[in-house]
Amino acid sequence: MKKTPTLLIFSQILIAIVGGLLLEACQKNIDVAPQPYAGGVSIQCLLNPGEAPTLYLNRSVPYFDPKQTNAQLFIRDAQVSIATGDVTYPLTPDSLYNGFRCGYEYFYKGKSLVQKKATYRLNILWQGQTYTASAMTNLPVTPIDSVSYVPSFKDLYGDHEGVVINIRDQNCPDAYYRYTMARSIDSSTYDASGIKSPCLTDQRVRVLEIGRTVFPSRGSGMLTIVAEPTYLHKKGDVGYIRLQTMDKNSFDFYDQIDRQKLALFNPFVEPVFLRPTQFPNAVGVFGAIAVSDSVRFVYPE
Amino acid sequence: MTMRDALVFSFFCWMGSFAAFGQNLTVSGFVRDAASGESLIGATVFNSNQKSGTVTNAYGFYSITLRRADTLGLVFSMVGYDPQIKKIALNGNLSLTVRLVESARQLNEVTVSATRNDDNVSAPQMGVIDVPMKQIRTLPAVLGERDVLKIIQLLPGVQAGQEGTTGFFVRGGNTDQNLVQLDEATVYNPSHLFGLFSTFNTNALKNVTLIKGGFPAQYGGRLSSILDISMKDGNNQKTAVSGGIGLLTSNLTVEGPLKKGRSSYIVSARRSYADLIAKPFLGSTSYYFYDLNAKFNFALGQGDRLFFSGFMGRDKAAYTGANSLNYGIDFGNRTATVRWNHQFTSKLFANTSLIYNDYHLNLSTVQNKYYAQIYSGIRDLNAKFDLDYYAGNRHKFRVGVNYSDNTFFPASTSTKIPKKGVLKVIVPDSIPRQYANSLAFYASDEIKVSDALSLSVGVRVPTYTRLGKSYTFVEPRLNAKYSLNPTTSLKAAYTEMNQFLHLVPSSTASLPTDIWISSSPKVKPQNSRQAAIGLFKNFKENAWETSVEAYYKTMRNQVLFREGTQPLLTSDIETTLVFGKGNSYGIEFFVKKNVGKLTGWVSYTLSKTTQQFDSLNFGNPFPFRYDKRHNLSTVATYELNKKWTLSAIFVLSSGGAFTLPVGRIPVFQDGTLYDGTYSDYTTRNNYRFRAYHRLDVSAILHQPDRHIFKKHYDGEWVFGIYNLYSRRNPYFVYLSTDPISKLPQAREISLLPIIPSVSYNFKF
Repeated sequence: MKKTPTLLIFSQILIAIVGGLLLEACQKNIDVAPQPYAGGVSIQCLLNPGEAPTLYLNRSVPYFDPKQTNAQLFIRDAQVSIATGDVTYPLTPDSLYNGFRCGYEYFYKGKSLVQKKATYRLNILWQGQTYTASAMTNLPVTPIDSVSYVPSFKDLYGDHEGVVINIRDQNCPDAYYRYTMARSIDSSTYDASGIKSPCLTDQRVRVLEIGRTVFPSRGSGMLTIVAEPTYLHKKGDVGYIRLQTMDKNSFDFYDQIDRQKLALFNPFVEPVFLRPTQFPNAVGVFGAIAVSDSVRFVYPE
Repeated sequence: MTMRDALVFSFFCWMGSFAAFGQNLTVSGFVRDAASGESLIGATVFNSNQKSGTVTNAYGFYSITLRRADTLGLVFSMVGYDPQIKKIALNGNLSLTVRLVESARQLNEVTVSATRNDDNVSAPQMGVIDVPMKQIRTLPAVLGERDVLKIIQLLPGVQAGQEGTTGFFVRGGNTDQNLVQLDEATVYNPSHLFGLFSTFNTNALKNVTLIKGGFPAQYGGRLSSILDISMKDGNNQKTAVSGGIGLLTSNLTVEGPLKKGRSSYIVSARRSYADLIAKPFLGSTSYYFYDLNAKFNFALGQGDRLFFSGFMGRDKAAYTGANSLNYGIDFGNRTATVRWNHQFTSKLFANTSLIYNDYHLNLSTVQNKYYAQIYSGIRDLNAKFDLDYYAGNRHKFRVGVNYSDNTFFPASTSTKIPKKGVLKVIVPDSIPRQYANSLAFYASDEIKVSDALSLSVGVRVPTYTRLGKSYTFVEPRLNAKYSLNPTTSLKAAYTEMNQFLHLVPSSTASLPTDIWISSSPKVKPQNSRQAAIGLFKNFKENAWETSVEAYYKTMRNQVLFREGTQPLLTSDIETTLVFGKGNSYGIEFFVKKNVGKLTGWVSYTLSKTTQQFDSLNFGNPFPFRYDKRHNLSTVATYELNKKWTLSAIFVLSSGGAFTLPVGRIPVFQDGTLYDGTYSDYTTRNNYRFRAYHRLDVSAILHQPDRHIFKKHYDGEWVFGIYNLYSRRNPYFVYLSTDPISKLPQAREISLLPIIPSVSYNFKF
């Protein structure tokens, strides 16, 4: 077996080469051939009594389509109205500058304020298609009992920091809860994935964080919601937290999106297909919310 | 006439059919390898005058009943062996053990074509392929390792998964639908190194048979295929040592007689050693595997033989590297089998087996900042009894019973990696055990209705019990062969199979996320019904084998995860499953050249497999993940001269299916965690990977009759190149979003580039 030492040396050299080849797995961007896609319509409108109605109306695009700015995707030539009783209120295109995302956001806005305990019918006419749905603004406001902070919290999304919101649960089976936090952020602020806004310099901009998860009511008693902040923060940063009490249509829609996002981020989760909920010919929601008074929250770290 | 009367009448008619052969005489015995004394499985025993023949069973036993005659000629033959013709005077029942001599390597056309095996045409079963162990030794090796599973993947109707995944897929079935048995013990994960090698050390193997349709009644418990592997018994004539030294692994096999001619042993071991000798190059990556085969057999008397065999294989790997992929994997199979052969009479042969097997897989991985861990454990205890009755030259009857006690302990978890603190991991001992048991009876009869028409008729009745819920099924098995002429036959088969184990596949994760679960009150057994027809034709006195087979298979109670399912430590896996059905159909072409300087085969399969689940894909049918429309395999071995053998494998297949959204819907309602868009999926598995193709080549330099320390040995150098033109075949595709532009991107990962190898094999 005189050959063995030679073979061993040869083996070592080859293993180094082969090992290097194996470990350097190839990764590259690929072009994915577009599949026929009948672009759809996305509708989002949550009626909040006491506020003017705002409706986001966008067209969907093929997944790898380079069109992706708000202006390109916003449907600006639709006829949009909401009606309650015999009165119809038209909504007209409007926009607002998003300082963090460095661009305008486009939406339809009404002039009259949404009334409490009313039934609204949405009517959208665009390119010969009609999109209709209805919502009732009869949800009770759920006040926030207290707010605190935990540096580490484990839930479906893993281990993350959390803003803890304690509320007194409504004894209402069709009530669902979602938190929002209004903050003013500056150029040192990054979003949760570590991305810094490309356009912020020294100015501060107002952002509204909206919780991904919508929590169902569990009956009367105290209910605790723990939400992961969207943007990074530092000690002393101030946020104003509100609680949205929302109806089932809103829950069905946002819960689907939440589960889909989880599947996109986590490669060990099966993909979630979005199914039409309220609109047979569009993805979206026309729902009602009742928003609590804000509670001031100061980040302890 | 009641059903009971009909059954009694049929039974007596059937028994009466044996009486007609009562005056005949029986020749029985064993066929063995002359040099090693190994029993030979599937050797043919044939009498041309009476056109009667049989083949040896899994223990080399045969029994043939012939009409009384003064002298008779019996031809004993087997692929790779010189045939023997025995002239016998048949005055009474005769016990005859025949020893066949292995053929020398042939460079010229072989001339003993009349005795060449034509089982593919003459046997009533269809969908059965014996994998030639000799051919495996001449085919291109991956990193110097010859591999049974790699050859299996080149057969018609069989396809590999993606690179880096384990297992093989038969006629539209998932990997869990293949029953892989080593000496009757189930091997749940037959792969090393994520499917690059199989766990089977070819030096320790005697026979490999793949059954993909027309299942005999003694087999059950899987829908798609049976891979029946037998270990060698060991050389009972002399001590022999063989082995190989390769780049990544070395192996050594020692076998010899315990009592010459009667009892023997074989011990074979293989280990990889990249973790030892290449540690400086591997950094934080480590990997090793080993497997150990051992078998002892004892002749207890004239008609009794006892076998003890065991197998142990283990993989342990950690990979920390590029592409956000980190693996940690530890899995292993352990099996032990005790078998007792007893020959009651020249026509009645029995085998009793006690089998234990133990499997575990512990996989942890990090991908895109998410951690997942999967633990799958299975422990089985089996008791089997099989009885072969060679009733005459028109009937071969087989009955048996199989009891199995199963313990499962599956668990899985997936979570985002914590910023601080310790991950909660699965502790195997804390996983709740799931207990189940099964009992199956079977009976079958091979009936030679006429010279042209043969039938194989059987029934299997399995009962599976878990948590107080029992499932009992009646599985008919039917094979029919009609000979159009001596070299052509038409075959048809219909089988029903039930499977009580489920491997739940993930549609998105790029890792071998095997979670085995058992049927239960909530999880119904899988069921398949398969019908197949085939035309088999041999040319030039069996030098060329050809076949065309078409099949249609339906599958019920297929299992997938519910949309959005996230494995959690606390979740009951059964509550995360959805159930559906599938169907597969296809046509398989096979041309094989058995003799001459150039041997090999070409197989092509055209197939389509779909699944349908009420709660997935809007209830519409969608392609199976491994639905590959076209599958072409070409295998060639060329004996250049006495020194060199060249071989090549070329595979080409359509890409497998995966899911991507086709639409993107904006969400511009301020800064949220929705990342600005959500996805519009229209169809599951709506995209296809690029076509897969690969060319492997090897050259073997034979060095026979060499000497070292005055000992004679045969040596050979094996040079190989895997993926000769370094095709970057796709492994998986994932989506990412450009952080600034927010534009989505698709990224493709491929694994195995060109890999050269060299190994040296020896045999004393």
